[in-house]
Amino acid sequence: MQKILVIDDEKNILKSIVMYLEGHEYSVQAISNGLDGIKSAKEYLPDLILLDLVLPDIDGYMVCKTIKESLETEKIPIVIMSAKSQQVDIDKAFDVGALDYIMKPFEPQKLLEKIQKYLKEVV
Amino acid sequence: MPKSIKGRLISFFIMILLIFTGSNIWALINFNSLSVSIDNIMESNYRSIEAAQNMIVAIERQDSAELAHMFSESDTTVSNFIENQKIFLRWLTRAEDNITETGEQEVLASINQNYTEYIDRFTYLISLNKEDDPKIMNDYYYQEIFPLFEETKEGSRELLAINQNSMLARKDNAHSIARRAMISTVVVSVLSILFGLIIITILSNKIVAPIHNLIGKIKKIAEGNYNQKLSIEGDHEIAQLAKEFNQMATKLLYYDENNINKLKEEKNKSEAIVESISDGIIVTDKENRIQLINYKAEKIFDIRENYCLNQHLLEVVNNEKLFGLFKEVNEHPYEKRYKSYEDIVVKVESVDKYYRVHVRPIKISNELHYGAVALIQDVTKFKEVDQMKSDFISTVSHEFRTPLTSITMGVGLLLEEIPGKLTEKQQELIEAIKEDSERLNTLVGELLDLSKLESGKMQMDFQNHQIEAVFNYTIKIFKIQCEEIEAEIIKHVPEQLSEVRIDISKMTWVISNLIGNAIRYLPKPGGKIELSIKEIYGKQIISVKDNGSGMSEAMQKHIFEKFSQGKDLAGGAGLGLSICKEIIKAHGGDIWVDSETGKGTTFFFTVPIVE
Repeated sequence: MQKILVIDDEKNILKSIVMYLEGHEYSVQAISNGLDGIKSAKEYLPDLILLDLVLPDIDGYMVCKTIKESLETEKIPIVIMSAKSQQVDIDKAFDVGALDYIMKPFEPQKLLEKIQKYLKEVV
Repeated sequence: MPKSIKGRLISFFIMILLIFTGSNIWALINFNSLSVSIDNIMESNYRSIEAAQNMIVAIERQDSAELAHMFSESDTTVSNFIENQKIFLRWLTRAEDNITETGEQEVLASINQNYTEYIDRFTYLISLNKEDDPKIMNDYYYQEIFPLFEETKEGSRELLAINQNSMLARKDNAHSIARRAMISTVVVSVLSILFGLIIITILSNKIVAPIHNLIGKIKKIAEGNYNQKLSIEGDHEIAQLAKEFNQMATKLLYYDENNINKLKEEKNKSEAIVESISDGIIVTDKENRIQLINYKAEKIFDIRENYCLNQHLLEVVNNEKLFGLFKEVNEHPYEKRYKSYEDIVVKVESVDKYYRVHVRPIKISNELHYGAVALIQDVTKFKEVDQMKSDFISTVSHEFRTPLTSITMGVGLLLEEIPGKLTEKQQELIEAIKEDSERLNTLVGELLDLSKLESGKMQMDFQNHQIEAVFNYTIKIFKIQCEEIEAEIIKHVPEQLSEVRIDISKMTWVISNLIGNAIRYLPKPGGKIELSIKEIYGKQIISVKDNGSGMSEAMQKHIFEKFSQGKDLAGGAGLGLSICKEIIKAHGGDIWVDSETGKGTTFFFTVPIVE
């Protein structure tokens, strides 16, 4: 089973994403802050990370950058999920190494399509 | 001398006429005296000469007759003698009638005396009988008659000589008269020509000098030197002109001084106004050299007007963006710009201040431009408010989107029946939740767009395009949807349309939004949407017309306001038309609607044509 790490401070979003992805046969770990997220990325070594930009401790850009700069985790594809819609925010996400950017709110099917696409590439 | 020019001219010509008349009279007098002297010659001498000559001939014939009487037998001698005596006496009488010279009288008296004696002696001679004593007769002739004959003849010769000499003298006199007439006529002519020339010179100087004076002063007045006075005495025309001229100059001087005072006053007023305007103002000439800086602008850029007049803008204000604005306006003063202002940042006491700079060309006429003027408004406060507003909207939309995400996710989960099977009614309810959460999502997106457009933050990418291209693209987008409801979209595009300067993606959004709105209210089936373009007065009017249900006048009034929508009509968030309006405004155009309930609606908007 492929592993997905979801980092988002919104527990309702976390809950629904976890439930949805598990429903589609993925192993999911849910983390609600940045530092734990980085730690989990290193220990859990997921196949893909879904990352929110607004987190209670350090922001998503920082998390993304740190994961991408660390040797053990640099290859893990990161998909940003955010309600930020300005082009500067999106550009910044790609600058720090994100693979894709999915705007909140999104259809669960859309999220699933992206995940399937990137995980297929990894495999 | 008369005072007026006319009088002067007339008197001048009269004078010239008099001079020539005088010189002509003088010539006539001379000719007359010449003719008189020739007549004199004829009258006084010629007749006496003729008489003397004839007298000599007659007396010689008498002498011959005498001799014949003495020595021949002819009996005609006496009658011949008497015949010539008559001739002699006739000519003598004529000579006596024409005594003109001195000495002539005495000569004639002696001739008369001698001749009378001569005739007496001859009468005595005839009485002598030659048969008796021819010697006595012969002696008598030689002693008594011949001397008298000689004396008379001599007298006649003398008469002839006197008159011939006198004739020569008169001829000489006539010659001298003629020469004198010639010389004096030449002298008089030359003198009158000289005199005429002098008068012409004096007169023309008298007339022309004041005119020259006048011309000089008028030139000075034309140059703006109104303090001119003409001093021309008299009351002739030029003097009158000078008087009028002086009056005019005085008035001009008065007006000028008045004008200058007024101008000064106006200038001071304008300067005071410009100084007290609370926004910064900078004026440059065409070469971007500073011509005016008001107090506020001095403050903003920490400069002093006195030190930077006529200096290049960049030397004084080191702000590339500001200079760029001036440069563009001065290089293309007659081109319309799409963005009429630019915001610049200036550090004032190490704090960033935001200024909105409007630069406009200063056009004196359609061909001539003086330079450019910049209005520099402090928009720091607005920027802050703006920032707050956009922060607020971004926060709000974020706050909306986060719960929307979990709702969407949850609904997705339920509909995929991951948590468990749903009943038909449950499914129906969840579909409704999904639909409304989608609407809410669209609304949040539009709200964010509108906020960006209103604050001018929306990036506009203006390029030259044909509107028709946008028509074609949107028609394609709605093709399937139209087929489903059996509606049609028709375009009316005239040939040879100009290009317009638009952000093609925003324009597509506007036209799509208008078509999308129209489709919602179309009759099904039989719906018809017409897209058309008209070009007038430097812009294109684009219209989207439908044969849908139309709307009331009250609704038309509020249609472009936020969150307004047809109450009686099927749903749809009310932000679309507000966004359309903002986009069209950003293009420098207008948008309006024309509709009648039950008869359809037409939306119009304008876009400026590329010049």
